Amino acid sequence: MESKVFVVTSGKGGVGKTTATANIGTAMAMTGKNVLVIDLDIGLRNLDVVMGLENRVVFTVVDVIKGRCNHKKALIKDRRVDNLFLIPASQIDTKDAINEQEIRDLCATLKKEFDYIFIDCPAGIEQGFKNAIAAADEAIVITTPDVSAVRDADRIIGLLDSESISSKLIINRINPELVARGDMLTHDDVTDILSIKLLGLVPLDDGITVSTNRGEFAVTDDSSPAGRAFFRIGQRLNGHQDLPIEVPQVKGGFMKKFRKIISGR
Amino acid sequence: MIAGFIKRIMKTQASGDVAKQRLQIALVCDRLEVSKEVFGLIQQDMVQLLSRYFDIDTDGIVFNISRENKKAHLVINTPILRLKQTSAKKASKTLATAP
Ligand SMILES: Nc1ncnc2c1ncn2[C@@H]1O[C@H](COP(=O)(O)OP(=O)(O)OP(=O)(O)O)[C@@H](O)[C@H]1O
Ligand SMILES: [Mg+2]
Repeated sequence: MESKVFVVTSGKGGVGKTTATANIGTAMAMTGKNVLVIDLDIGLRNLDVVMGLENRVVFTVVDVIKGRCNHKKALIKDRRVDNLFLIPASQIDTKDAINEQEIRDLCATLKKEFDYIFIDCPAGIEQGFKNAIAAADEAIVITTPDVSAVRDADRIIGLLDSESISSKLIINRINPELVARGDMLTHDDVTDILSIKLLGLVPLDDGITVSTNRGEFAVTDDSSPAGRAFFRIGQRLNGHQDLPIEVPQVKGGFMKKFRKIISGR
Repeated sequence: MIAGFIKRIMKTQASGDVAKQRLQIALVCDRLEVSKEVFGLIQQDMVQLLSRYFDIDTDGIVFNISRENKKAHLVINTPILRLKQTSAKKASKTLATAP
């Protein structure tokens, strides 16, 4: 199988790139693929804490690129999920510490060892973004259903397009109550506006906060709606393109509301 | 008048729909890298031009920019109510006499 590099990017900050990288990478490792996630948010490293691997960081991606260590030394192997590895970002360098060619060379080496490589991209469109997309075969663009995030996603999709990188869209933090009330852009609105292929819809989910607090993966927790959504996204990337997209529904459903009314609570 | 009208709809419309409309306009400008003012002028000119030939439903016009093969395409979608009866004659006349 040809191995593939995905960049997870958004333009706007805080929309869920790191959360998605950790959970989709894990989902694919759970299905038996050899997966590497690389944190390229240099200077603002986060993927290690989100994955609960922060205590095991010794070498970083900048060390590997600058030849201070072999890439094998920087690989952190997850002990809970087989075949899942992290190369962390460094905290003391800046985005300008590395360049696009260095990333292309690094990924060419790593592609020989992994089926899938996910790159966690920093927010913005500056050097950090350019580095993160340099080696990408495909992009996963994350947005939330907010005007500013969608607008930034559009800009990013345009930039990726001019580099001939095709993008697929994830809409994260969907609040079905607000959608039902008409006070949130629907996923159809967003895909209409951005006109790119939809990869998945992820609901707003307290479970993400809890699992991130603990350094665990929502995707391994069957009771987390966002985790389940990320798992299905992993399956879709893994060749099950036709797996139907589940639209986040208002919680509790009819019976729960009915009981609430009856009990007067 | 138009601004007042837009404000009126925005108040009664669900905020999700307002967001969609605002985004659509903002993105057309972003993708073409023209200002909102210039875009408004283009829109006005297009409506004027098309109105020489057709009665069009100006509320139903949608301007959109789509991206394909690294190029932006301007797509104008307009409901046509009817062809203007004297359109061909009149249009050529107006064009000929235009300064
Ligand atoms: N589906 C979700 N439901 C609830 N909270 C979420 C969801 N997705 C992400 N979050 C929360 O949103 C915050 C931002 O997420 P995250 O760090 O993944 O974004 P990011 O795009 O990587 O941010 P940055 O641009 O700063 O790197 C985090 O606190 C995360 O736990
Ligand atoms: Mg991040």
